[in-house]
Amino acid sequence: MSPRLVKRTQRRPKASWAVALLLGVAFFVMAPRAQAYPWMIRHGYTGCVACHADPSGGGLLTPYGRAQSELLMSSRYGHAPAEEEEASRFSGPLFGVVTPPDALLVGGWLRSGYIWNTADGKLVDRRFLLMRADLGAQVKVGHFRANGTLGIASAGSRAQSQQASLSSSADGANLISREHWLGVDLADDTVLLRAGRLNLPFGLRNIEHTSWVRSETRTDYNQGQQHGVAVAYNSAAFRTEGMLIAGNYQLHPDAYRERGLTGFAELALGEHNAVGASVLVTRANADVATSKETFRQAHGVFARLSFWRPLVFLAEADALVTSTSGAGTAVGYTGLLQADYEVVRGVHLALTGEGLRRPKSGAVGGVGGWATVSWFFLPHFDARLDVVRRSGLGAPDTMTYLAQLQGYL
Amino acid sequence: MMFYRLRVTPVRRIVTPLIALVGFAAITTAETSAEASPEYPSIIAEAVGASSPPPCTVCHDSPSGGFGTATKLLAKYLESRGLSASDEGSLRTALAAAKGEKSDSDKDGVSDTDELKAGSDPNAAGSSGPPPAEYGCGNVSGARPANVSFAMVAAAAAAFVCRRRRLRS
Repeated sequence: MSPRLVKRTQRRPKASWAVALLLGVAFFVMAPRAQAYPWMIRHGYTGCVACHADPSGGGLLTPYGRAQSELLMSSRYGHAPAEEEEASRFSGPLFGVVTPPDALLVGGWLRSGYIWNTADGKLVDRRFLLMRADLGAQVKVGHFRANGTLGIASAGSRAQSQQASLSSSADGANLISREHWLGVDLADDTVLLRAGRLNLPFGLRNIEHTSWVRSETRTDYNQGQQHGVAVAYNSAAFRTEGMLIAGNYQLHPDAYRERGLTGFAELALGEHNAVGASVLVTRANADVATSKETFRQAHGVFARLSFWRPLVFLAEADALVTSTSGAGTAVGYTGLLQADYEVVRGVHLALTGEGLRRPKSGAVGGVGGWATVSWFFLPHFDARLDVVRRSGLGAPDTMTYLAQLQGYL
Repeated sequence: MMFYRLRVTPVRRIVTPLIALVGFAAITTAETSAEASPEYPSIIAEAVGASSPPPCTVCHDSPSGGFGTATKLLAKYLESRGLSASDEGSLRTALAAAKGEKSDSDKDGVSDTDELKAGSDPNAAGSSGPPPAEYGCGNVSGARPANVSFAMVAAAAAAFVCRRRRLRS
């Protein structure tokens, strides 16, 4: 080994530690969301079922999904990938230390970060957030599956996790379970029948759980799950899921539980484009926000379009209809358009526009814009910076600065 | 495709320091919960002597709270007494005013603070509706999320170290 090479080799560990320190600092000042990336359609994945245990996306990854996370999503360093490259053991559970049997899927999520909020230019909120600390597993025996997650939620993230609470500690720190279900695979695994606490099948399963299309339809992937029975069908060009909602049984009393149905259907137009439609109809004796009997509907369309691999457009538009006892029926709308550009592999720039008019008489419309940079710097790890501006709705103009880091173990 | 790749250092060069990252993450997540701002519901419960915090919907028209959704009568009254977002002091001051003035937002003859203490809705006259919504299946006061998350991350770090040693041997 030449002296120069020796010197370079000796220098690398220091550089590596510097990288780790920078990442650590990034972690220290940051916080994220769940893993569900509709823009994977750029790689020809029109469906989600190959990579996720949930046939409609998000949640536990299959071994194939873990491999694709490393081979397709995260940055590569140095050598060019071989034509038929296989994922390293690093992509496995707990960095490959654990090799579970085929019947068992395991995973863990850790998200943390820092958020700054301003209202009319005044800083009104800044804090650390522990956004997610969950473990998940799925056991499959024959055609039957049992799947669930268990985690903890800090007081600081109460508003974004309380609907999934298992406990009700007064200080806001609680055990939570976002998903738990039993399922059976039918028709050569193209159909999955499930019962339990499930993600609501509606619209884009995007990770921006505070985007208006998710929060206003109450279909966010972070805590908007409900108990019920669902059936999903997946083929190469078509996927659909319908769910009968029995209510969130982690919410009391029963009067607040919404009951109804929701579902979506999506048709692939080639390998890189898909369009779909969604419907949601629920009724509650007492709406959790107003305590009044409420009949709530959302109907919409969505699309995922990629005409050039580095660029993916995600779009969703939903009509919101709410009928409240004593207040009549009101109509609103919400929409989202996102352009995700993968500059180099693993590094994404995204611009998102959104609009909202709540279904209330006299409601004022609002608009929002997101600028996002995210870097999948290692398999299953990403850092993300968001700047979100929202105005209208009869409320102060707000700016949110969010720095976050997410790891999937 | 050259366009599609970063050229930095081989993965293995930064894999080992990842332990430092994970360890650091453990510390930061442990601090996260410790430094998180106490939430308004807990402050309200403490101020009025309620046994449990009220739901976000006591002030907000959204179950998750958020800017622009504090439209309930109680929220409007408290704002008129100086309440502003994420300012614990302003909330305590406004609650003190509510107690002193015996404010009654829904005009049902029971003061807001008494309704908050009793767990009824200070925005709905007569409180004919169901009791306030509660989340969870049981009470486990004293849960320590920071420690749990620390343990989870520490376990990951330990597993990672074990794997590295196994690869070297």
